[in-house]
Amino acid sequence: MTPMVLVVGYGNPLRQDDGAGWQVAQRVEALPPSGTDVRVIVCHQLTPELAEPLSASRRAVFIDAGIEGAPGSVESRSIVPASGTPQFGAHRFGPSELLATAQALFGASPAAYLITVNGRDFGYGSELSEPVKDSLDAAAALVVELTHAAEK
Amino acid sequence: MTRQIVIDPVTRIEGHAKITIHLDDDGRVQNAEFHVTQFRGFEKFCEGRPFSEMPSLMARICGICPVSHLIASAKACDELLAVQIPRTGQYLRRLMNLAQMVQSHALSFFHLASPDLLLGMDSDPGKRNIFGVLEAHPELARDGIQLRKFGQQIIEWLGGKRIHPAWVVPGGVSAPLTAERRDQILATVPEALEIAKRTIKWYKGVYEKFQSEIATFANFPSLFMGLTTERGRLALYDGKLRFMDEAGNIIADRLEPSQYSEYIEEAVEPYSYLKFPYYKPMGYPDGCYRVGPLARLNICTNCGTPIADAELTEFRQIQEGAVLSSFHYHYARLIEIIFCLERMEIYLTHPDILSKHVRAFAGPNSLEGVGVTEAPRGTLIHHYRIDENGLMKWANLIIATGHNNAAMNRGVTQVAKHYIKGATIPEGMLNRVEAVIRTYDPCLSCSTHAVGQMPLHVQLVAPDGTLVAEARRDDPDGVGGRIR
Repeated sequence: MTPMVLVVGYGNPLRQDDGAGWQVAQRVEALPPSGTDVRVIVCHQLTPELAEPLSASRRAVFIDAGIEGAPGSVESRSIVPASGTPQFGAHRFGPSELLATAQALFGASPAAYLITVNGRDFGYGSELSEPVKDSLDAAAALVVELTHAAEK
Repeated sequence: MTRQIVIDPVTRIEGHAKITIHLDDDGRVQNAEFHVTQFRGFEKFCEGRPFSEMPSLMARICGICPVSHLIASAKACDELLAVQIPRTGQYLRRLMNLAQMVQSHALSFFHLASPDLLLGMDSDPGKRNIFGVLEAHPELARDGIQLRKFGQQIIEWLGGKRIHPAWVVPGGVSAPLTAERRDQILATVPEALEIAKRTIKWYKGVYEKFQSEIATFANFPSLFMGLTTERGRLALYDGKLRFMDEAGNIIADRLEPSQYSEYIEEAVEPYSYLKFPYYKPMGYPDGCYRVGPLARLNICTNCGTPIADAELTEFRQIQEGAVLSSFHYHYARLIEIIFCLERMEIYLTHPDILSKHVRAFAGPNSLEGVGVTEAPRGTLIHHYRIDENGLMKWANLIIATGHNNAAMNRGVTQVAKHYIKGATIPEGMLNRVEAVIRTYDPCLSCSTHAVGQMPLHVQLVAPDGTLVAEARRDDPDGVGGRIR
């Protein structure tokens, strides 16, 4: 069965707030089924192998940690496939490049959103900072809202 | 005079390095030094930790081949326990090792090397990457993605996660294979095999266009080393060490891996954190040897699986004796992928593969243990000593990329001599220096056990030590950037 929504939380869970994407994605996965077919993936970084499941999805929600906003703030924006020839690299392969890859290789890319949870502490360890911990529910709610929007 | 050259993008090598090319009085290349400039010290900071933590700790050395470190470390710990692990536990470890070999070789061939092979060494650097492949040959790019996904998926199915799975433990594996999972994996093998066969057919149609590179990419006599089975077959998990010379003569065979220090010594050069292992009886640097896919296919009597053996027969037509050009690492990698897929089917259909007896339990019974296996890039050695309480006293790791260090240096020198005429660094030479290093698929983070970043830094030095020319890439991720 084709998943309706693909949720991808990514980052390094051993570098504190960089693991926010994992935490949010796992909260979404733990929620009771809502009628929307959701597949949750957590990973350290985005890789081209995700292009195939992405191309088979109606909608995708990526969740990453950020450093530019106030710690604990949550931002959401829609993203489109990267244009031109993106630069490939293990650490520079973002959601837009992944959408472009899905489109080019598998002929489809879904409507997609990027949720950014801004962090404060990125040292060694799996403990999130307080502001990020406090923001997880709101971020998960935002993801759920977007997954439901896929049904409309 | 220092000249600036811009290359954008480049790399596709994992790690951090610098190259110095020395000129003689007539401005000709005398030699080149490949400096690995990173240091991390895994051997030191594990001291004092319980040995049972070693597999998980050592797997953190690398995000690309953690399974190899996991297996070598677990094998060293098996020796500390002094147990024989159950046969099914061994088969399951081998299965994960094969999956890892497939995904790592696929990463090397499709993502890192194929842009050069498909688009040419002198093509637009802006396009010479996986996206360029995607535009020029989408089927090849799609195959690369599928094959890597295949290997990663099996690692995840077996170990619970794709990177740093903790399923391989001292004494065996932590959980048996279910029938459902076995069937799931088996069902994916045929498609992967079709991809591998399609890719090697494509490769055989293009590689002869690279005669100049084949002739100059580390194409020199050296020894080759790796594990083989008792009967001399290709071995990727366990076996005995074999050394072969450039003429194809086996000069040492059935060496006990745990006695590696009787045959292998490590030299140190002041310009690199990466040591220079050599074959002890021949001394340094004459005992320089190569490991990895090319070495493994050179030293083995055969693969022991039908399709891989047919390919091996064809591979050996390249030249008499050992195949010497490191350019052919790419070819060897593809043959090994086929071998891995054939072996996976054999293990998955073995009547004992679903046995629940997959782990032997014991406390430390020996104070010293050596684990040797074949990683994608070559022979991997973990050697541990512990105290009576099972705490680590000492560790020595010899990593595949380290074995190839002397050969990589010679390869860079050969390319530099061929392409540098006078006191400039031609752009074509830089592309090929990277490409010759890339044939070894080096993992510099693994080999120095260090965090990896690789801006390539090339210096051309006159006999009096004057810097004649310099090229540097500002690329923090080692994935593309500028040389100036």
